[in-house]
Amino acid sequence: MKPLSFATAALTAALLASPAWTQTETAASFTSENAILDTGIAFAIGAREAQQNLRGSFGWSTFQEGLVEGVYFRFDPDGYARFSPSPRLDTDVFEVICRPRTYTCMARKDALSIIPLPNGKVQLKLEDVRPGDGLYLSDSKSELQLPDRILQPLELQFETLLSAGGELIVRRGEKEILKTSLSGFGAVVPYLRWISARQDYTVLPRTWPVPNAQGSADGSITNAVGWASPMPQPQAIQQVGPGAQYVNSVQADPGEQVTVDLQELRTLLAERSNAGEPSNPPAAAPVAEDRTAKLERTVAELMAEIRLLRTAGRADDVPAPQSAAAPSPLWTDPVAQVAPMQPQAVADPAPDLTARPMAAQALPTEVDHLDYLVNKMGLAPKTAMILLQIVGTGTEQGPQSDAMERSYHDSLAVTILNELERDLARADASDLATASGDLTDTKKQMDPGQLDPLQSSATVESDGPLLADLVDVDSAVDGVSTDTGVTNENPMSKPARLDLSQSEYQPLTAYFKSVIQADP
Amino acid sequence: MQSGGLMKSNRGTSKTSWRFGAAVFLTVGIVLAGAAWSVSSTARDVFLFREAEEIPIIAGGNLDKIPALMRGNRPAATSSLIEGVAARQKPPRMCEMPEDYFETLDLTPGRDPGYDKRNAYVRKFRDRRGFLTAREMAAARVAWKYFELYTQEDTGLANAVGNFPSTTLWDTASYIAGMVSAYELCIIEKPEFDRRIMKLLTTVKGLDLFRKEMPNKVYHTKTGAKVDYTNKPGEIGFSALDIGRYLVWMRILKNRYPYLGNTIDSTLLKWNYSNIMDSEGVMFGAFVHKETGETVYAQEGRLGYEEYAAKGFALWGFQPRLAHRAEPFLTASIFGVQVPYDGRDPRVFHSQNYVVTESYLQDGLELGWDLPHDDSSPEWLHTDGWRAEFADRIYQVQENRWRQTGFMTARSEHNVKGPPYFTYDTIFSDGYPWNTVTPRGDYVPDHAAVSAKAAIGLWAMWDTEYTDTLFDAIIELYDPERGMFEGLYERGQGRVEIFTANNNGIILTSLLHKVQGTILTAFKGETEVWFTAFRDQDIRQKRNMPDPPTKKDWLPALRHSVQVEAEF
Repeated sequence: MKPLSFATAALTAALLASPAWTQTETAASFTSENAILDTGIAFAIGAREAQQNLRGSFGWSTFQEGLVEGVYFRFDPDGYARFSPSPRLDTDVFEVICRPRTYTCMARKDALSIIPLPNGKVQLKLEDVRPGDGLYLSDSKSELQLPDRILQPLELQFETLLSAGGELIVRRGEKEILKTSLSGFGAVVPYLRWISARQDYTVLPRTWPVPNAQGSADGSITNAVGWASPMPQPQAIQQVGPGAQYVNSVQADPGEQVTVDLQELRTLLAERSNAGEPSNPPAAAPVAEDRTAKLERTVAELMAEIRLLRTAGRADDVPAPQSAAAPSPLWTDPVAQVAPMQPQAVADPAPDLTARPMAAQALPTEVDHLDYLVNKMGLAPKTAMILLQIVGTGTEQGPQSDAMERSYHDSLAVTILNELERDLARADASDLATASGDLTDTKKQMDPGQLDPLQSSATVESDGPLLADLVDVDSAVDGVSTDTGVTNENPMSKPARLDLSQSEYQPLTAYFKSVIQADP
Repeated sequence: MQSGGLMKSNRGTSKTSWRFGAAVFLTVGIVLAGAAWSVSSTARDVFLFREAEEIPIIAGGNLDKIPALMRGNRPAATSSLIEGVAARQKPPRMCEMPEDYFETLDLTPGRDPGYDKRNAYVRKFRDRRGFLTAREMAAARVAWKYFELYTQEDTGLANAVGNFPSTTLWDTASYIAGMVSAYELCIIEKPEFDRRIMKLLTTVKGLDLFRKEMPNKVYHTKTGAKVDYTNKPGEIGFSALDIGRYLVWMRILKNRYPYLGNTIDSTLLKWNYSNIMDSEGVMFGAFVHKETGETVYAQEGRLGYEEYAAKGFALWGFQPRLAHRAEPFLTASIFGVQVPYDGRDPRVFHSQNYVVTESYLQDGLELGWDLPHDDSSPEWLHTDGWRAEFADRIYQVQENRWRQTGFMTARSEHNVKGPPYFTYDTIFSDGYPWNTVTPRGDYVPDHAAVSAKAAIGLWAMWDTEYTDTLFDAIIELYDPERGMFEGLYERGQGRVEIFTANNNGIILTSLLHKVQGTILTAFKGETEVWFTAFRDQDIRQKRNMPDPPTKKDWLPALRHSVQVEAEF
């Protein structure tokens, strides 16, 4: 967190030192270059662009005003905005100020500042708060103590929590030294992201009332998840905002989407390997960073898909007795796992892969369940996932068809990982060695391309430690062990349980980041 | 027989008598009616007899419906011309005044405060008059520093705000106000004054108009190019209020310095007034429709500013009858004072009905709260009575606030440093007293301030203990190299560290008023090019240029006693 903290401090210092922040500029701020927002693009449904009569010789002739998430807002083309539960925007105001000619903005209310970070998260800053001070979230009836890490880059669950409103209280001992209303927090944070994303609706939370520029035929206020936004659609799931990682997660065919993403990842890696020489000048750094960020997003999406798919196979898995001598496998072929327990499945000599999608369609899958929970019932994606896991763990071992269905999803995940590994191996063996230690040695022992996806799972599971971490993290996420008792052929692999809240996506992200950014 | 004869005779007589009586009655009635008619007709002819009088129509007189070609030669009807009284004289420059100048002036009101029969008004307050003290003179010199520093040599235009090179006609009028004041207060001499004013006027004449109609709302001061609010080449529209204030100062210039008349007239003759005022006397501003790009004309002005700008137009012969009226207006009871505010609902008209000091102040300083045709009434009598009476209320409510809450109060619109950059620091607006709002309507109480221009203006026009306090708070609030600061934050954040043409111009005007009284003086000429030009063409009709006003064109003197109260 130190680099991020440093970056946050630098950003804060830059904002505080900026002319607008210190109010050292006035009229010069009204130059067209300082207009970073088009007030004609509605921030939320119902917002309107208005013209204002100016008495002076300068100023912004237009602004936008509206109501969203229970707060009224107005913002100018330079990003300056006010959010308040009062239509006069006079009390309990979140004020957003941007550095001239940049998309670097921050919000503040009393002693609370909200600073967006480059990775899409935000960081809170509270004045006069010292280590050891107690942080509490109060809803006027009860209080919830908050960990100190809410002052670090804000995790999604905390962001969701703070967006619910209430008051943030800081106590030093018994003395209350700070009390700030969080009213408007849930609107200000998306606004900051919306600015950073150049008014791209895709960074807004899933439940955000995004206006349809084409007009809604049915007159509905909000749009279903399948609604085609007039704005450019996201190319990857982004780790910003509550539920944002599930944006556009409902696809016609999850497998197809994963394949597309793999193709994109392959392309990126190929570009990286073809780049060859480490002579990229510093000017190319932003390009690399963009690529890295894109890759991270892709990986995050992959992770979501993998976890989604694996949920089906894992929910009914019964952990097999594990041999003390044999380390638990990191990635096991569900078919291989199920086979010993399901003779009928073994007796089936050649499962027809092409028929499996049909089977998946015939019976409700976890994806269908998820789709139902999210789209029909309106649950938050994370809540839906948790619900599915709870239901899944409480369900008895399904019939053979369920097992086959789950095996299909798991095999798809194995296929994905296989492809991923092949691409990585082709991309740059030395990079991989640098990034993942002995991974290249392991790669030499096998040729995944010659293996049947289903049969290769046992080999795949023995891949390098980073990937092992990945898989195990995925298991940890779901709260179900993938240990099946199948002999792990890779002595290097070991199970590890990571803390979900802090590293949900980190291992794979770090891995690819290291691959991309490693000096050849 | 006798008895029978009598009876016959009696019967015969009775028959004859009835008929006879009816005939006599009818005859007498007709005769009497005829006699009455005859007598009354005769009496009417006798009593109403007047000798046939032929009123000769004098060429060029009021009864002479002279053709348009010749109307320009007619002198504008002013109170001094119609009533045959002496017009006000232009006071000498301060440095040319004899030492006993003010001892010879009779400024004592000739009657009790209140309205007179003609709806002129005598205030219960007195304005300050006299020579400037050393402190006041120092402030005047500093205020002029702003214009020395921020006037662009190439165009002669002065920046509206600090070193940001843009301005409006409103702010240009403030520059002219500063220039006139500096000259009359002997801060600059005539060569400097002439150099500056000629440069400015020739630049204004050459300005590229908004769609060949009226001056654009904003111009770049370095290039004179029309720009948008971000100071980039473009056009916004025009403001009737800005142009109205500019016309006030053009009239002041022309009346004070007749040698500038032709230059001023040629500037104004270039403009097209066909859309800025309709036949009912409503003023319209213009803006560009964002989507279609077409010009949109919209009523402009709210109570206070609207009437002030309307009088600017009236000084040039226009007839802004509706714009000059206070209606529709309401009052809000604040600290026991019925504060008038515009009755047009901001939610409907999307224009704030802010009540500030500035517009009433400028009317008093520059026009003496007099009607545009009045060039002869004594200074203590304000012929545009309701304007003076409303101004007194605007002052009184601010003093009352100071006395009851301790907040020094002199509210006006002013710039602030940083967002939101500009605030209407109002006495009342949008339904709230002491409302400090941005142009887009945000409530920003932290930007409430004692406006320097309002404070010095109140000090000049209301000689009271309270304005002495305001004066002490503001008169040294300056940067000696850059001018007077915009104001003093009400909540203790210190000075409003920004410098503007409007603030410094109004402060200079206030100080000049102390020396010379009402800034507008009487016109001394006979005819004006403004009225005689283009008489042989149809340009005047196409551009809606007025004829010299006659007495029937005068704006009415009104008073307003009926109010709808709202308690706050």
